[in-house]
Amino acid sequence: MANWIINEYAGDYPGLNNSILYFLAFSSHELDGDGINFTGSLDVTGSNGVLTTLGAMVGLNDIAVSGSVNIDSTTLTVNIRSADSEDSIFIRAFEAIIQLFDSKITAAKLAINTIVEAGQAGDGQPITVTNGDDSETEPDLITDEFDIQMSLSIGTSGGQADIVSQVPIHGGMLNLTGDFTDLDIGLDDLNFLMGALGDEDHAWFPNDQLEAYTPNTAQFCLLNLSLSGFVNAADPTNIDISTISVTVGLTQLVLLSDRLYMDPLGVVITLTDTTDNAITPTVVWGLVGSAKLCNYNTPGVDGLDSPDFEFDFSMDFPNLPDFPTFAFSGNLENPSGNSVNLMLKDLIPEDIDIGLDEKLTVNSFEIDTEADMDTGTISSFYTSIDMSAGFGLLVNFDLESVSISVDYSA
Amino acid sequence: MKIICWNLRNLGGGKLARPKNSLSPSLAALNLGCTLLEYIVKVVTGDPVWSNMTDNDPDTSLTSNVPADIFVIIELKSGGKAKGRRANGGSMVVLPAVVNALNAATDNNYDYAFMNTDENPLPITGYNECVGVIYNQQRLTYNYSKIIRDGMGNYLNPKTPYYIRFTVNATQEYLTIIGLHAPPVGKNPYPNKRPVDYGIQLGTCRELTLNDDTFIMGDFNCDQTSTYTCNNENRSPFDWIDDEYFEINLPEQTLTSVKTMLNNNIQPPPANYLSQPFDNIIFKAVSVENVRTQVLDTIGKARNMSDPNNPTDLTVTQQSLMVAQYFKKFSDHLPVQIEFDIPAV
Repeated sequence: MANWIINEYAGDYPGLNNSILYFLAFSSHELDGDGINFTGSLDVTGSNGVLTTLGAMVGLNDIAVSGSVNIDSTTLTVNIRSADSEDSIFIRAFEAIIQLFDSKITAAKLAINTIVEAGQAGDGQPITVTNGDDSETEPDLITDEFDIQMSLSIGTSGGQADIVSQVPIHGGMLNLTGDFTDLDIGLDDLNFLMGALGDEDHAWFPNDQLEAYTPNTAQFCLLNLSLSGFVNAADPTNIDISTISVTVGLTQLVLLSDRLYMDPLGVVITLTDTTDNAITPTVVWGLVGSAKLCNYNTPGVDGLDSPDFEFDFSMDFPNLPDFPTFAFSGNLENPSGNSVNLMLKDLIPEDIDIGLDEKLTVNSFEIDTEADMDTGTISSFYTSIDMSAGFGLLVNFDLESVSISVDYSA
Repeated sequence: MKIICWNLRNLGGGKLARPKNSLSPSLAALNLGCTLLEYIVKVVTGDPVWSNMTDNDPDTSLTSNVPADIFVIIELKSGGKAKGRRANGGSMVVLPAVVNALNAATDNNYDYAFMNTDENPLPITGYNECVGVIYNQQRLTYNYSKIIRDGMGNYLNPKTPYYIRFTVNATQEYLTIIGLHAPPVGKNPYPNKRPVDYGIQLGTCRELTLNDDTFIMGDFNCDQTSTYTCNNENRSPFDWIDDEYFEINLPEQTLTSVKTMLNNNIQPPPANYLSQPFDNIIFKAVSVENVRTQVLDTIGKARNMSDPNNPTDLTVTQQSLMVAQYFKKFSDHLPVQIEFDIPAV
């Protein structure tokens, strides 16, 4: 199953034989004068089945491509993209297959990215990897991506959401997913995900219940979008979208100068049964967030990559009449075992000593409560704090930690 | 009826379908599935790519190509750690996605669901974990569920078992599933102590005395032969099974946990890619008959199904990649299946 890339480079980069490139067949190719960039055409039928589903989805027997084969020191990188001339075909095809995306796809491409080191077998066998003074045994794996990349225009501000899925082979699943930053959006901009059901009479994304959190001009950012559907190998142009999950929210929201942030504060919405008009779609949604306390030496957004403390919380909103419960849960984790004194130092810039033992740590703090909207009462409440021992009255006891919990249910 | 139990190692929504958690394209080309969700669906629904899964012994009568009626997920991710609180987080993304995918891949004889209403919430079993049970409503009706305590009224720690009881529609007999995740093996001098003691404690749960067809399954982190000696007393985890009319018919030392890499230089298969006999199903057959248990070796039985009419064995390299990627992206456990006959009424 050789093609010109395998023939030319697999001798020095044997890992190519364990990549998707090994399966591909080219109808034609032409190298530029630099010997790096090329154009050509992939033969759908001759590519050992790996392009059959995609070819049927876009209606092509040959896919025009452009790409490059770069060698940088000992690293070989192969990039292949469907040619710009195929863009309109790909876009029309996917808008027809995923009707939720009708008129929203601005770009759609086949994208292949393979990275192999010289001499690397890429066969999964044990190899020793050295990192400074440390070495460990890992399986020998190459970087090998075989994706559909898509851009969607969402929201009145015209933001572009880039989502990606591995190319379905032999049918299977199309899982388009993407994480975003700075993509402004309003909750009602997401009604298109409900397809024919996303009309003015159905507010699937409850803007009104979030009025307290979204003053007139505030806009959320789209943080994450994922969409899953099954591709029928016999008819790849017909996909059943099974689940859509969306997270919208704010990131790097300052709570206390450059020390304490809400990162993110988001709304998670999961939709199921969206395109079956015989079934009322199920919408499950809530707020999620994470309060992060930066180390006093690394204040500001740069410190958010490794905060000293992180408090994660989630709020599940009622979905009447079947789910009348409002629930809140929060969880503080302290995996590094940082002391309470460090927490105070992170919060208060001036040196302060209130006499706490340096060994006093809060290992975890958890709170979980539910309220029944029907009765207007708290139906359950739970809180638990797990602290280090070895201080105060407990100093003489051989205890690793102390936990206190309160549990109430009506 | 068929039940499949699978420890899917910290399974959350992101792991189910993201490209970085998918098999590499060269393995996806084998037509065994690409994403973990696809892979799960093909195994649980008895997809023809796994038509070779049954033993060659015709007496076992295991059926490869029939979808499971119950699918139990061990190490399903949840937020929170308070036992009995309602599960949330990743479990609430995974379960609907798996249910939808299974329903899309099966015919009208299968209508999968999971139980998580306000009246019957899916409970947390321990730190950031719950047990997912997906069942076929065409054959089973939900009765009730809970997390269970031992004979002294204590939870089993760190993860207490999840109990769910069904009525078999055809016979109106009760069928009970208990899913669990025992503590891991520890350090010397008694590395087996925690999982063995967990197994002993499990035997005191009152739910085991009920006269239901009962199936206890999951990651026991030990098997029938695991023991430790303390104060001249030899302790093993399942001495109670005869007294409570339970059985195990998976052979002792049947390996189920997956190594990080294939190493052909150490031992012959499957010990060159499997390491420990940690997953099992203990059952009490009251009304059901002909119970058969099998580990679904989705690594050793994997074939190149790119041409479904002409399956071929994997090359050594493909086997090696399959082990490495299965461990890295999917799980460190193989699924276990149990099948039985329900007598006609």
